[in-house]
Parts: sequence; C-alpha cells; structure tokens
Amino acid sequence: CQPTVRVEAPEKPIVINVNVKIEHEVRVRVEKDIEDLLAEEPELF
Amino acid sequence: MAGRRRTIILAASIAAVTALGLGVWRYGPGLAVDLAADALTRRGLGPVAVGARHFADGALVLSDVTLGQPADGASPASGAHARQMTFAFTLDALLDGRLADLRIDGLTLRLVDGQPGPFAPLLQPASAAEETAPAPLTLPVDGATIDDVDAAWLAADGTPLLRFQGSAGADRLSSDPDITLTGRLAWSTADGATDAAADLALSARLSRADGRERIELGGDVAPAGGGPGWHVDRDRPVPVAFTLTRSLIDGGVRIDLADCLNLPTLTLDAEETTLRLTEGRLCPVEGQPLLDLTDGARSVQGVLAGARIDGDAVTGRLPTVTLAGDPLNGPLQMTASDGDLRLPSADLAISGLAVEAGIEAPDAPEPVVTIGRLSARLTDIASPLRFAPLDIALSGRAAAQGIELAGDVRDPQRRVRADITLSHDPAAGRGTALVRLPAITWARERLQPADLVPAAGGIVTGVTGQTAATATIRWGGGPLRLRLVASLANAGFTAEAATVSGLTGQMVLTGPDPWVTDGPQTLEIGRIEAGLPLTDGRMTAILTPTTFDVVNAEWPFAGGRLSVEPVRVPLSAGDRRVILRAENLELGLLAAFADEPALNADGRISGFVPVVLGEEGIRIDHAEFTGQAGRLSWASDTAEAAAGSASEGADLLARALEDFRMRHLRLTLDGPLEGELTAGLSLAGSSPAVYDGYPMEINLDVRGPLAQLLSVEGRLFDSGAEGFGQSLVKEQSRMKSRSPE
Amino acid sequence: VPPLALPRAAMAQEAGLDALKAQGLVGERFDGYVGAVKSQTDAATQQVIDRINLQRKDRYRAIAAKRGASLSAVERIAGAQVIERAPSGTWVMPEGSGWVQKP
Repeated sequence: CQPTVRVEAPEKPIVINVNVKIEHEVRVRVEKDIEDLLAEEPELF
Repeated sequence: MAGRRRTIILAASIAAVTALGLGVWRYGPGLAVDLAADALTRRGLGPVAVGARHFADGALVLSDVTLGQPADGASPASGAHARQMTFAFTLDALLDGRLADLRIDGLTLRLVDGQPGPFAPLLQPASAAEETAPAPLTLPVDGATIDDVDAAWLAADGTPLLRFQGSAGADRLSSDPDITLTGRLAWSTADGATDAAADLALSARLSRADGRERIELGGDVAPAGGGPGWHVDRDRPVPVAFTLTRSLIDGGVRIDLADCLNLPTLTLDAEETTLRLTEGRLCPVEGQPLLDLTDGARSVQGVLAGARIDGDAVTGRLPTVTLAGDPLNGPLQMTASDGDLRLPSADLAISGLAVEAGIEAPDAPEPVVTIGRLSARLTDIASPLRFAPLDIALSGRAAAQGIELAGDVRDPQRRVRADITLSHDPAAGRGTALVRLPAITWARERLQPADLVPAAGGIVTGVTGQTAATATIRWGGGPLRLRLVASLANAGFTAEAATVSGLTGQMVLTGPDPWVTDGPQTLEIGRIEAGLPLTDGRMTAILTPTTFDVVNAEWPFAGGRLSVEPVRVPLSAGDRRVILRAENLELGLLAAFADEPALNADGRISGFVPVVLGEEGIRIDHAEFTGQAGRLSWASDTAEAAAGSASEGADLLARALEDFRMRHLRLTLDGPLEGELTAGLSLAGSSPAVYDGYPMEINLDVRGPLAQLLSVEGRLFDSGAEGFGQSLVKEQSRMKSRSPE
Repeated sequence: VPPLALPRAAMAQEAGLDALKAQGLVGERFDGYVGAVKSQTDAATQQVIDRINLQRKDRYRAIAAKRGASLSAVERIAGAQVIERAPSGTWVMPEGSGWVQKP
C-alpha cells in the first residue's frame, strides 16, 4: 500500500491555567498601621 | 498771607468808622464830623458823607453815613455805609477822652478785589523802609456794638468771595477788649465751585503783655456747604478754642490750639464711591503751635487723630496723622500710625498702618513725596481664608510723574519673605512690579503651602524640597499680566493623583487667564509613587490655554524605557488618555520588584500602557506587552515542595518552571493604578523537564495590587490558590507521559 | 494693636474636624475619607474636607507602599476602623448606603 505522508498537526500543547488572587494577608499589618495613624494624628480623624 | 490782610481790613474798617465817631466827641457834632471826615480823607480814607445828625438822650446820632463812592449800581465799588451810628458818653469817660458806648446799626462794607477804593492806604503793604510797628487793636471806646453787619470781599465781577453777616460786640475796648462775634461767615470761589458757610458764635479776649498781643478765641462754629468732591453737612456746632499771638515788634503771628478741635463730618465724593470722614479731631502737638509765623519761621504742627472713614469701598479708623513743617515750601514731614481699615468688597483688612513721609514742596504744582516707611498688615477676612496675613514694608518716592516703591512682604511668623520693587506711572496709568521670592524650604510638619494659602491644602500636602520664584507683574491698559519663573529643587508633594518627589527644574509661566508656559518646559521627576515607583523621570511639556501638551516624558524602567507618546491632554475635566510606551523591559528586573525574587529570567518585553487620568484617579486601560525568546526558572523551596506534590497541576507547573524555555510571552494589565489590577501572563514554550520539551502553554491570571503582581510566586503553588486548575490534553500527555498511570 | 478679630466665618477655617462633625456638617465614609453631609456646604467647610482628605490619602498611600497593599484596600480598612470607633451620633456612610447617624 502506498504510504501516505500526513503532516501531523503539531502536538497540542499542555495548557496550565492558574488563577491567583493576591489575598491580603497584609490585612492585619495594615490595620495595625491604621491604629497607629489614628493615635498619632488624631486631628485628621 | 492774604488771610492776614483781610483780618486787618475788617478790623481797620471798624476802627475807621469808630474814629469818625470820636471826632464828633471832641469838636461838637457838626464840627466833629467835618474834622473827622477831613482826618480820614487826609489819610486817603474818604470821601465821608453824613446824612443827618441829631442829639437824642445824651447821645450823638448820625444816620446814613457813607465812606467812599456810593455804588452806582452797575459795577460794585469798595466802600462802607452805616445806617445809623450812636455815640454815647458819660462825664468820666469824657474826662478820660473816651467814649462810653458806640453803637452802629446796619453796617454794610464792601471791598472789591483789586479795587481797594477808600481802603487803599490801609492795604498798602508797609514798604520795608518805613515799617511802622503794628498798631495795637485798641480804641478809645469803652464798649461797642455793631448790629446787622454785612461785610464782604467781592471778586471783580461782584460775586462775594468772603462775606460775614451778623453782629459784633466789644467791651473794655481801650484796655483789654472782650469781643463777641455772632453771625454767618460764607465763602465761595469765583468759579462758584465752592460754596460753604459757617455759623459762628465766637468770643475773643485780647490782652497785651511784653510786646505781644494775645487773642484768646473760643466759641462754636457750625460749618456746612461744599466744593469739588467734598461737602460738609450741617451738624452740631463744633467747639473751637485757640489763641492767636501777634508780636507787636515784628507782627509775627502764632496760633496755638488750646484743645483738640472736633472736626465736622466731611463727605468726599471720589469717582463712583462716597466716603464719609467722621469723628476726626485736630489736636496740637504737645506744647507746639498749630501755626507759627513768628520771626521768619513758617511751620504748621498738628495731629489729625481718630478719624473714622466709612464708604462701601473702605471703612474703619484712619491712622493718627502728625504733620510738621513748612506747608508752602516744605519739607512737610508726615507720620501716621495705628490705622485699622477694612475693605469689604475685597474682603481685606489693613491694620497697623504706619507711614513716615516727607513732602518736599507741598505748594509746588507737583509735590514730591519721599516715603521713608509705608508698612501695614494685610489680613484676608474672606471665608474661607484665601491667604495668611502679610506684613508689608515699603519705602520710596511718589511724584506726579512716577511712583517708585521697594520693600518686602513677610508672613507674620517670618517664615517667608518676598522682595518687591514697584514702579507706577500715574499719568499713563501703567506700572510694573517685580516680586522675588527667595528659596523657601518646605518640610512635613513644618512649613507647608497651606500655611500661606489655605486652599492649597486641598491640592498638595506633604510638600518637601525647595522652591523659589520671581514674578514680574504688569498692569495698566488691560488686564494684569504676570510672568512667573519658578524653580524647584528636589521638590516633592502628595496630590490626589500621585505622590511625586525629586522635582527639579525651572518653569516659566505667563498668565493669568490663561496660564500658559513660555514654550516647552523640562522638569526632572525624581520619583512618582504610581503603584510601582517610577524613578529618574524627565518630562518636557507645554501648557497651552486648553491643553497640557506632553512633548516628551520618559523613565528608565526595568532595564528598558517607559515613555509617553507626545500627546495633547485637554485641561477640561473628564477622562483623559495618555499612551505610555514600554520598550525592552527585562523580565529579570521586572521580577526584582517582588519582595523575594525567586524568579530569575532573561528575555525582554515591550508594549503599550494606555493610562486614563480620570476623576477617580489613574487607571491602566488594557495594557499589553509581548516578548520573544527567553528563559524562566523559579527556584524556591515552595516550588520544590510543589514538584512531585499530589496536585498534578502544581507538580507539572513546578517542574515546567524549573527551567522553562519561552518561545513567546504575552502580558496584559488592567485596572486602577492604586487599586486591584488584573494581570494576564501567558507563556508559550517548553521545558526539558516535562515530556522532553513537549510544548506547553502557561496562563497565569493574577489579581491584586500592582506592586504585588510579580511577587506572585509564593502563591503560585499554593494549593489554596483559588481557581487553580489545569486542562491537560489527556491523550497527548498519556502518549508522552513517562509518569506512572 | 491687636489685628481685627477674624469674623466667625473665617473661624470655621480653623474649626477642627471634630467641631464640623459635632455640627453634623461632616461625616465619615466607608472609603476612609470624610464627606459633606449637607448638599450645600459652605466653602470654608469644603476646604477643611479637601485638606483633611488629602492628608489622609498621603498617609494611606505611605501605608500601601510600605505594606505592598493597594491604596484602595488600605482606604477600606481605615474606613471600617474609623466608622467603628466613631462616637454615636456621628454621621457615617457605610458602603452602598446614604448618610446615616450612628446609633
């Protein structure tokens, strides 16, 4: 039989999707900073 | 001194008529009259005509007595006329050669300017040679009363310039006379522009001592009337008390005010506004005469105190003004202090107004005023406050042809000073001022623009660094024109849109409305806190009336360059777009923004960052970067932990990223600069460690603050990472996968 | 000579934030900033609001940069804290709501 040459489509790539939401584990530190700010500059609040 | 001659005329004319009466006493009525008439005419004071004469109850009565030509109707002539004169005498008065009482009814007296008529000899200024000692104002009569006096000094055309109507009385005329004068003194200018009068109720006591004659005068004066630009309304009479001293040696006169003189209310009509001056008091300078014309001197010294000024343009207390010097030839020194004025329409208050000035030749057509010191505190009383109080101190010269002033303006706490030189040409109504603000150092917790201009507090805060400026102001012939040269040295501030520091350079602006730059201006921008710090920037821009044209703006960034495409940003409100171009940003340096750079990479990306300057702040509107070949490797303990971990995705990703050969990279970025942004990173390439370099595609979507987007690695392999998922094309991976099923 | 006494209106300029809050002119918002409670606000009060808010933004931005958080996150955290500490009677604007007086 006549071998047929088929141009193979390039392999399909492996796809990795990553969704990341940068959580605010800094939240606690920010809250502390806000407390300090309220204490240091009461005239602003 | 015209005034002095006029008083002499009035006194002399009364004396002349009275002398007539005396003549009668000595030589019997008829004889006396003729003799007196001759005596007067010999002195050139004639002709004298007496209508009728008769004796009545011990007194000689003359009626219809005329001195000088009777007016022939057409042109006015100098002269005097008495309706009736009554000479009463007592025995002892006779023995003393005096009359007891003289009474004149209906005395009309006219002196026409320039035609002295019968009074000519009285008016000849005594030539220096036969300067006789001034005669004392005493007459050999005990008492005299003159009722219905009408004495006037007329202009050539007959209009009365100075006119007194009323009555006069005198006692002890031969010793120390006591005179009273009541009536109305009116004066007006020939052109009729000024027409004022004063009701007088005065009494004067004459006394003579050591070669001087003193007239102590007191009583009430009630002025009314007005002239060009001023008038005085009839008001309660003003008490007057002063002493006139006349030297009997050289005739020098001196006036001393016994006490302050309450000035009547004066109303000034200036252009469209009227000003009322009230409660003014003219006071003597301690122990000094108000007017001193003795032995060749000529000086005035007086204090105008406590005057209030009220008008819609200005209201308040005028400064106390002290005047001293020669009012004619000068110099006339003027000092003023403690003025407190309020300019309601301008919402300004002027306090502590102080002036020291000298007027060189007050009487000259164009007097020159040298201003030793002009200082005041200018306080803004608008709400809200527009600027902090300013202490102004100027000195210079003011004359008709030009006003030059120089000095400085400071804030009360002496933190800021501006030097001013000002010149104004009153005739052309034009002038310029140069204001130079030497370097001001701003610092947090210390001097801030809001301390000087409160409204600035809503625009910039946390201002640091140094600024200096010079402003050239031109006025006259059109609106005010300003040219401002501002230089910044390492200046910084926080504004709504961004916090900027390290601003250095010079800007030249002209304005106002509109403010525009004088051509392109270049500023170094040390640092902008824009989510990510942009440092070492430089911008060249032009401010046009309606747009802010960025000619060039660029920052070195992550090994490459960020630059703004030339753009005309409209000044009007609303969203404004600017396209930022990113060229050759090195991935490795970008990664360096992360806190602990586990990623090292080489390869470069370029792209465009559309930035929207909106009401809500700065927003990145779908930025896109692309890059070609490059290598990524993530070496961190969390990455190792993830490799081989249960989660197939994490394991695959970790092993791929150990050494990922990238063929193509695409990065998108969108969201508020200082808020939550979404970044999309898609990498196409392969890793030798994964299926012998089987092609892979890694799509990374990250949400978070800009500065944290790149320190994502810590969370990349976090199994808790929300939405961590991967789609594997099962069959390919099975075919290639060496991993156990 | 003491300068002219400043009229009451200009006094508002110096009036601190507390006075304006006590008069119900100004309230605290969820986003960490103060806002005018009444629709028409006199210029002096508006100027105090603008000045206070810019100074707060300056401090919030510094915290965001120091902690690597986003400014908007810092603003919200501040807003929550300030409203929670506000004495009762203070006008507050929780997210998605109008001005209400804190019970």
